[in-house]
Amino acid sequence: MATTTSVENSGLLAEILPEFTKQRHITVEVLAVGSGQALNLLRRGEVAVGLTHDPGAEAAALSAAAITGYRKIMFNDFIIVGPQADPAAIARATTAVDAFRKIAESTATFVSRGDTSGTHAREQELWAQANRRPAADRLLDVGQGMGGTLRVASERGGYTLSDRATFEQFRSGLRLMPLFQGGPELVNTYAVFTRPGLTGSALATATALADWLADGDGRQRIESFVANGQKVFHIWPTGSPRGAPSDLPAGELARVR
Amino acid sequence: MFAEIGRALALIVHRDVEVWQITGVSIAVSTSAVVAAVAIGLPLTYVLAGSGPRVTRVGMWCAHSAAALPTVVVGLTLYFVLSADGPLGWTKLLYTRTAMAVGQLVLTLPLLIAVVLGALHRLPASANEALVTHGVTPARRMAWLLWEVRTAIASATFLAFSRAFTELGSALIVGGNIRGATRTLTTYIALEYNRGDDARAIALGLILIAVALTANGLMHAFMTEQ
Amino acid sequence: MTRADRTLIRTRDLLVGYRRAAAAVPDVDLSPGLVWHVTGPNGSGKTALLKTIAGLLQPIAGSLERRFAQRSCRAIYVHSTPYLFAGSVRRNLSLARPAREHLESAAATFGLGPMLDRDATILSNGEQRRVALARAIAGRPQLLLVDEPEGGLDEEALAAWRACMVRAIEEGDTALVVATHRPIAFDGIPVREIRLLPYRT
Repeated sequence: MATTTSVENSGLLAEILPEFTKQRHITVEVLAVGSGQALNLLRRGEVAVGLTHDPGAEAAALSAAAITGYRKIMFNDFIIVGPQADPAAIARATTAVDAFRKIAESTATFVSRGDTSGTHAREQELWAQANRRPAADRLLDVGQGMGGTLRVASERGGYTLSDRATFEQFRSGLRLMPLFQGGPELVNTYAVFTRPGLTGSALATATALADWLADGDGRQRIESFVANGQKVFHIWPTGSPRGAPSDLPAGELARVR
Repeated sequence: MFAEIGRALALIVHRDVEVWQITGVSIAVSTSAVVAAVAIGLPLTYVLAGSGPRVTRVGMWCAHSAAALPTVVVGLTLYFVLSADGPLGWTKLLYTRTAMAVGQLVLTLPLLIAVVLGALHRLPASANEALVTHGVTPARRMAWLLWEVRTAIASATFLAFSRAFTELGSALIVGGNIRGATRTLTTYIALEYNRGDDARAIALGLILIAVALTANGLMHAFMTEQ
Repeated sequence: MTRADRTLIRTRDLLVGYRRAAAAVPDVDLSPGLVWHVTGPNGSGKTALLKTIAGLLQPIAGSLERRFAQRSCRAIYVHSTPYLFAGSVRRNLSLARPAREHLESAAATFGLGPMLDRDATILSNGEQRRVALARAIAGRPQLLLVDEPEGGLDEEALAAWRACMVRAIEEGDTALVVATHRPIAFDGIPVREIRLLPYRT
């Protein structure tokens, strides 16, 4: 199975997958990489199941028939974190796009993951919607995972976009705080899917895992998963459409504020 | 894969901007680290060598041990020292090229000391005695004796450069792989290889090998000349 | 002022060498105008005495008084196996930073003129010894301490070395101390012996 570093960092899989193995007698090996790379691994046949949070890349993969059995399973949100001083005053922004615009127009630094992760993809969408980007010397592209990116932002007193779970996990060592959150632009949805063309036991095991996460016992466990005293992921509300990358959890947007 | 290698060579030949920028950072950081190591290491080694056999023995032991430090350990230690909460956090040097050079200085200085100290120690006592008795001043004595071991110094310098240039652990942790600033050949390859830009990664790998082989070749040439 | 008043080195109850292997030095007032021949069997401390006088070694006990004239170079010690530095003969001769004419006259004395630009480290033993002696003499020391100077020198070099020393001594410039177990003879210059005895602790 390939998943994103944000899922891996949260510790979710380390906690719930042993339950799956105990119940179904199937062991799962997890590769944690960026969303884009996870899709690559699936396409190259190195993994059978994928769990990512990059709707744009997922949509492309779906239309290329590179993935199948697509279902949204959980969501949380991204937050924009920065130094307490908040030089770009984004705490007063109206939307995430507005916050990004304020950052671009200020002298503040923004630290970008610069990789193929879902977080980076969302960041690029927000710059596109804001129709602005910070000047080259104030946009630091670090090409690292969320942890490394947060560290650089903390040291340089800059802003960055992070998923809430990873931020909470690293929070105590950072000089950053959440400055803007909420709104549909920052909803972070996770979907599970499998590789098409599997047969036999490979197909059975892959489907078992995907179903367990989407509809089975896994749901309950995702919902009750807590890290550092905080709930990390919300399960996809039943009845809410979940088969398309662009789906958002109905009626749950208020939850993420 | 061969198609990618071909594309990689094209990038090098056509002076792809990013490839040469990244190479430039690697060269700048490692060169300044080695220059500092030589500037600090030669006088230090000379003093150690002149302080008697016991100091020399202890010095050799320390240098050999320090030379074996894993790069990530040096990087991690430097990270904690330079981070905002650390004792030198006020310098704001974390994630700068200076910090990377300091890390590489720590990695290469012991190497230099070990090699040069060994060479100085092997000089017969009559060498220094001849200098002293002919009234050569302490500063000039250092110059004369270091010149006697110049091939060891050259060999050690290239060895140090090779180690600095090819190391990853320290550059990664204290540098932050920031594009245009602290991204080096090694950090790029380590972090970017899975971005799908294989051509560039291979190009940088080829440059890395070429420089490492050249530095090692020069080191070997000076070593066997001794 | 008589020659005797120009004592350069005065020793009293001097013990030289190393704690485990010391040598007792008969009291001596070293003055110029003579050749001082330090003698004794191998291992009796001749090298130790010369090095101690030169200041390269500390005496174990007793006193060693130095009375050198202020300005000029004081004492130079020449090893029995001298160390020549990387580079040319000329570079080695310039070790004590001699004036050009002193360097050239020292080179001439030992017939090193044609060899000045040769690599000093690949010369024969005898040639290297000549370079070492010339190097020391170029420094114009008041006291020249030479350890086993005559090994490896051929007839010509030997004659040149002795003639040079005679000149230097007669001009009153240099006191010469030679350590060797062999007998020595310099034309017309008196030789005083300093015989060393091993000291049992």
